[in-house]
Amino acid sequence: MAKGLCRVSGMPGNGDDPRLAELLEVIFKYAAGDLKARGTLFDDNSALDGVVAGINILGEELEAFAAENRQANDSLRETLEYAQTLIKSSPDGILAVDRDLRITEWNLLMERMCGSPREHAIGRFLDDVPFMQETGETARIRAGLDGNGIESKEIAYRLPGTAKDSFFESRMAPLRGRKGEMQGAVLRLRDITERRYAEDRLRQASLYARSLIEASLDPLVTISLDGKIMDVNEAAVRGTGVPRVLLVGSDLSEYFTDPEKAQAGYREAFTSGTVRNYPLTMRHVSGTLTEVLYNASVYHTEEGEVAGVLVVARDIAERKRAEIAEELATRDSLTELYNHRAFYTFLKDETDRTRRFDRPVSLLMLDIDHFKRVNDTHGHQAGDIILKGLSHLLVQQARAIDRVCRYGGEEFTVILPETDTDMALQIAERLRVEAECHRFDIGNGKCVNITVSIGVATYPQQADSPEGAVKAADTALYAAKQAGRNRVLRYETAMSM
Amino acid sequence: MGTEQTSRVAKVWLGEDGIARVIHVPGAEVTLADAQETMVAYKKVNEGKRLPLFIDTKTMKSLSRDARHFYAGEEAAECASAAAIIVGTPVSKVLGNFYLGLSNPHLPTRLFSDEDEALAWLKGFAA
Repeated sequence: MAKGLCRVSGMPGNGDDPRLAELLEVIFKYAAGDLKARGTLFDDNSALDGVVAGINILGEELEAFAAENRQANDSLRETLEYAQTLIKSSPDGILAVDRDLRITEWNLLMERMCGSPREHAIGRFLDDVPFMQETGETARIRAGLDGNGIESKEIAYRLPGTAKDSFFESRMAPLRGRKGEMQGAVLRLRDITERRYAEDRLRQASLYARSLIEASLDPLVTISLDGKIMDVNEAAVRGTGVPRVLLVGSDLSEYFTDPEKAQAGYREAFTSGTVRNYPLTMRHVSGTLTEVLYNASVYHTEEGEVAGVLVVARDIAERKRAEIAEELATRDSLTELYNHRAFYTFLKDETDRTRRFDRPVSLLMLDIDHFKRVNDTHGHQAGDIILKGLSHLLVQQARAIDRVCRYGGEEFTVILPETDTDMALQIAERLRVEAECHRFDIGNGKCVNITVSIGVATYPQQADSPEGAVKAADTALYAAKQAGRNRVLRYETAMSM
Repeated sequence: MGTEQTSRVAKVWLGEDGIARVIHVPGAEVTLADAQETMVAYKKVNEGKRLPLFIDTKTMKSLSRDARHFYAGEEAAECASAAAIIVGTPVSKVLGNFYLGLSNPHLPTRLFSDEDEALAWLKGFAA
């Protein structure tokens, strides 16, 4: 500046006017960067005064502009530093590229994800980064820079040194210049692996829970605190005949014949935590009624608060039908005694038990004497009445543990568990006497007396199998008949006759 | 002449012709505070109307940067319909021209060295 000033000061003519020299000095001060330099106004209305005023004004504006510029630069620098701190500390991988897909920003997480340090990444082309190339992100960003919209995308990638895929959510934002021109792009990669695996686990758990619910053959319903259905299984849809979409949100009590009783049932569940075997009648849209046993338990949120009630309505009509069918299959339709098939089942069970516990089981084989004559004289209806009457009598006289069965025709058997031959003979004799004494009312004011013959055998003393026991009792019965009927005969006696 | 208001650097009044006058005192070195004070004085005169302004800067010695920008800003423009700046000295001409460069286009503004011409021009903006 001093050099410049000297040079100008040395110009011919300038040194004569001190004001002009001062003006030049101010100008050179500006040129040297001293924006505070000002000329002196003499207020003498001279043109030089006007020039000085103008120079001063320019100086003021220049100083203000420079100050504003510095402030703007400082502000910009702070903003950049702030942005860089954010980028660096971001939990996401962030990279920026210019228009030519050359990397201009590469944060710490990108280093970890791609194994490439920032100083190596900056300046490289995106194509040189395997992650970007193999996941197709380079092509996507290129398309984005060409003006095509870029949606966020979920990408799977196996990072170097890992055994399973990692998942990333990729989002791209364009970087535009002041005039809106595309200058590059920023890509944010969020590692969503944990979330994705957690979602998978949740989905699996949900499917598992759903399959458990659907596996139930009983209607299964979850209800909210206000009694509205939240979820149902297929069995509930079948049981009510109402589609799932209509069931969900409706009141559970609507599907029972006694809604108030149903409501009381789930209120009880909310109060005490569980309800067991609460009998209700479920109504199908077709009008069909189903007897159910309502079982309910509350279930809780993770915080331990009651979230709702899980209700299972067990169809007991089916069970009842099965029981009846089973009963019918084992009963004689006329006398309602156990039938021939059931007799052998019971006898086998008892002989098994005998072997296990070494206790005898006796068998009575009983036959109505001259039953054909009764039928011939009084008719088959009368015969049936006598069969039923005798059956009733035998059941009455037998002990609770004894099994009275109709063997066939007018033949009956009585299984006497844990009974030896002597005791069996006493029981048989009592039955014989009761039969002989009983007067069977066959209608039309007529009563008939009958007698019975009874053969007695004991297992394992006289037989080594259930069939053997039957054969032994039958032999004794035959002998009783041969001996004149209306009597009880034991197997040993029959064998000695 | 209407009610006269004064600031440290100027006298302000409303003429019967509907033109407000701002006459700076000789050797005035106008700062932002002075400019704001003069604006307050003017607002007492204009009674909320946008009036044409006759501003005599012939005797003004200087006008600080803040004051320049204040006069050239929107607030000042909202109070006036036009401004005729009377210049005479080289300094006032420089100030006036600089003001023109700053204020454009907030307010119709012209520089005059002749007061009558200025008043004639301003009449066109009087209500």
